Amino acid sequence: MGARMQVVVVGGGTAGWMTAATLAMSFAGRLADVTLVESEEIGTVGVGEATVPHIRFFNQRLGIDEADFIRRTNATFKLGIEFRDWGRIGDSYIHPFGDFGHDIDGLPFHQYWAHASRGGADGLPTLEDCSLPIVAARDNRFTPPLENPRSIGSTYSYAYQFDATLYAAYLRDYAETRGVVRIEGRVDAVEQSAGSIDAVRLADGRRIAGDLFIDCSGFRALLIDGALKVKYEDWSHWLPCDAAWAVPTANAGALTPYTRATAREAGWQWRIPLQHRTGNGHVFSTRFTDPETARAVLMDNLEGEALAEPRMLRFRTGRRDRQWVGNCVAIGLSAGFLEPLESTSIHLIQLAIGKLIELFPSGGVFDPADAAEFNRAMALEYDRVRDFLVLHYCATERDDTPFWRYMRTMTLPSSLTEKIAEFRERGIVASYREGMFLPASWLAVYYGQRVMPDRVNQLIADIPSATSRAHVARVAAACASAAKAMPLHEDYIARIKAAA
Amino acid sequence: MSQIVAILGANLCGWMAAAALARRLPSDAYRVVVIDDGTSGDGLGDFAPVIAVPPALGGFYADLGIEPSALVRATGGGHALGVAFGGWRKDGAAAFLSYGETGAPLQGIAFHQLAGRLRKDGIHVRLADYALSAVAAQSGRFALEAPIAHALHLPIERYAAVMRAAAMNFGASCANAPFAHAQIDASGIVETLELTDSTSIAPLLVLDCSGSSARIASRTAPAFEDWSAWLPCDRTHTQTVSAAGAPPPYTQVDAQGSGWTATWPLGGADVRLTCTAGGEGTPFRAGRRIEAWRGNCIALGAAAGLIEPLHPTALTVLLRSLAQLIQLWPADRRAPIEAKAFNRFTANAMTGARDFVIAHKAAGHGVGASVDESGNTVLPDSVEAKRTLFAARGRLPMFDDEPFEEEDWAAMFDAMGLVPRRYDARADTLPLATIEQHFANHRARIIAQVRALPPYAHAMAELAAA
Repeated sequence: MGARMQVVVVGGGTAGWMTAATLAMSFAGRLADVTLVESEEIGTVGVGEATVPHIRFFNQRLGIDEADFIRRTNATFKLGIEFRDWGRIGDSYIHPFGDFGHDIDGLPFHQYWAHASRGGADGLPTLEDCSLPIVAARDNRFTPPLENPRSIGSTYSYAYQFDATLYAAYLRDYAETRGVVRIEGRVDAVEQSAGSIDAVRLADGRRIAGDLFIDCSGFRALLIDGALKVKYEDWSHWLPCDAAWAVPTANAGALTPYTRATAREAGWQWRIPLQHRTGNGHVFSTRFTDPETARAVLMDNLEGEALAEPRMLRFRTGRRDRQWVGNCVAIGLSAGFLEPLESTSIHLIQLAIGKLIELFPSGGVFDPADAAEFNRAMALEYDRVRDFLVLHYCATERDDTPFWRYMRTMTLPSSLTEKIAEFRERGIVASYREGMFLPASWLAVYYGQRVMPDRVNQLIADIPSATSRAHVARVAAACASAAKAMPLHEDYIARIKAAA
Repeated sequence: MSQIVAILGANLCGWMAAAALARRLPSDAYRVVVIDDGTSGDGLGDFAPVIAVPPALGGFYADLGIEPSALVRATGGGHALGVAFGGWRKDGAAAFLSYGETGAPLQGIAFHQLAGRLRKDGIHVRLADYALSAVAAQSGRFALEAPIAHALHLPIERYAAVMRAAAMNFGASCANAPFAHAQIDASGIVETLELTDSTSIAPLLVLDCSGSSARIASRTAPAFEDWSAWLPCDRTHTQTVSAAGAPPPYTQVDAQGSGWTATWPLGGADVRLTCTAGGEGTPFRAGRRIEAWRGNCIALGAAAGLIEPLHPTALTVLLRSLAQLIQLWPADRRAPIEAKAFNRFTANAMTGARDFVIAHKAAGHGVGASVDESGNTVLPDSVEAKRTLFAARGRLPMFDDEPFEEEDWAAMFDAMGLVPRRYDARADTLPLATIEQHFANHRARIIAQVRALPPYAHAMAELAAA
């Protein structure tokens, strides 16, 4: 083993500390020395307070104790996302972290439900009634899933809603304990030679040299853009929201085990309940509304008392053409931005970190094959998340504002057009090998936004409607009784806190 | 009134399809009718009188209520724990690819990555020494009841007869007379199939299992993607030679001239299949039909596409295609949405199978691979991407619906002597002794398991006596 590699992470915040913590756990003191440069003058974006279930595997890999993490980051549990006013004003559905029913004779449950509903909705449970995490979420209940795969209690997963600033601090603690050196300072210049970064220079004149540079500098993208000028693929014609107001409020009402996303006239509003406060924000498009109106929309639609003045962020949706170039890897907002409608920001960070570890250029050997694979996998992931986000906007009956009229009639990515046609006409949701959103997620949005299949598999259409109704009734009854046995979300959290 | 699903080809491919569909389709709504296409082919390429059935088909037989041992007994077939490759590697060494798992990961690090770490320290590692199936094969040991992944070698005619019986048992029937002619309307819908006794059948769907000639699909969907630029082998011939001694529980595949020869032990003799570029033998063309499903005709088996049988890909692709067909079961003869989804899947599956064979041939010293004027092997981009990343660090980019897993690719490249330049960096964070101990423990467990097995000949005698 040669000299240890010098890894420089530029930027703290969620991306920077998640990366530093993982590198420390995997390699610090053995293959690599990790230095993180951040400046307290520069705030973190910290919009990624809601997550998807993969975050649990990230924490487990670091050996983080769940109860300790819940206590120290003021975290709550999350079974899904409630979408209000998306298909039509007045609608509400939950995209759950779990399945709708179970396959019957190898065919998907939702098609049995669609078949049953053709015989009339009278007395037929809704598709939501056939998802345990939705039934539990609607009743503000939570308990971790069971392991026995035969039990209905195993048919869901869960994520967290947490204070991203506290999470970054938690990981900073973890990383520093494991040898990561934190340098306080502002990066002023980047030294490079032959397409590769040699060092970053700080405002106070210090020079930090390294073998591998991780750009976690957020929207500023100091290395990947500032120094290396890697092109940014702009997706704002498909996802025109380009700004957000964010404001914390005091908690009001029951502690929901889910995030909420409410569609607005020119964007949507998030609501993320934590133990000690609620995160709120309004994502909007400056093409269709102005910041002052957007601010008023947010402030007029808060449930609890505002705890601070709202802050505005601006962004441009898209991704870098390449996220790993030479000895620089962009992770987080420097690599691309997708609005937090499906809480994907932290997941995309986590995925990039996982790939970086798998393809780690130890010994300072930079093989173009590694970067090529990293770029292929990340581009595919961003593209597929993009398609899923666009689905929320195009699968709508709303035409009440110029924003919604644009969204429902715009030209879609061809990958998405084909996918929607297969569902709309035959109830087909093809699954893919890579890509975080499984068929159940697509189903939640389709049905939740009133896209019903014209027809289902003929082998299901052939059976009597009463048989399908009986399947649906059985699953709904099992979900109802399993949910009733769960504790309330706030009681479950109180128990964890009391056990400290 | 029930609708007819017509299967053209009373052969192995046709009866497999008939069994899968008759098992699944409600008999009050559908009749599965198999029609003799008038040829003696197997519908899967007619490569040899014997075929390798990979372990992944176990679930299919279980669903039909067929025990693997009953299948072997009824057909007079045998078992294969893997494939021994002779003359493929640049260094001349023999290689063994087993059907089961190789080694076990340690702290989330893949076994072959750990092997890379040991090799860097000069420790010689042969992955096959850590695969239960490989070690059992090399010691000539096997037991029917032992939990060892294996393929079956089945003689095609008798295998087809078992499938026919299974299909009939689930309600499929055989038409009274062979196929004569198809009436296809201007939009490509097969209206009727006329038989030689002047009767006719009006099908909902036609599954064309008539082999490479694709008697109906060649008319409804003639466009064909030719793969001979990457897979130049285009001739096969077989011979059966007498063999002395107990048969080995594996297949032998030797590189030879511009191609290769596979030897399958069967019924006390050896069946040899030789596959070459040019020369003597029955011609075939590697490639696939671009629209396997068009109108109401769905091409399956060799009618959908053909890859030389270096690996047992034909049955895997057939079974997956049938599973897709059931997922997409249409209401009408016109089903463009279903067809599009089906074609995307089969294109991915067949291309993935093709890539595995192309990569295998290119990875050794290029036996039967395609080369350009400067002597470099010519590879599709998808194979180039896999080979490049594996050579760099033992990982593989994986694509939608491909039939082989990342571990299969790693084992194949390793067996062909392609050694990654680097390995997973995490392997460097473990003490060398820990990795060595992990390898030694695994090897010891395998040896103990293999010791407990009887010789393969005993297992076969027991099977014959049962």
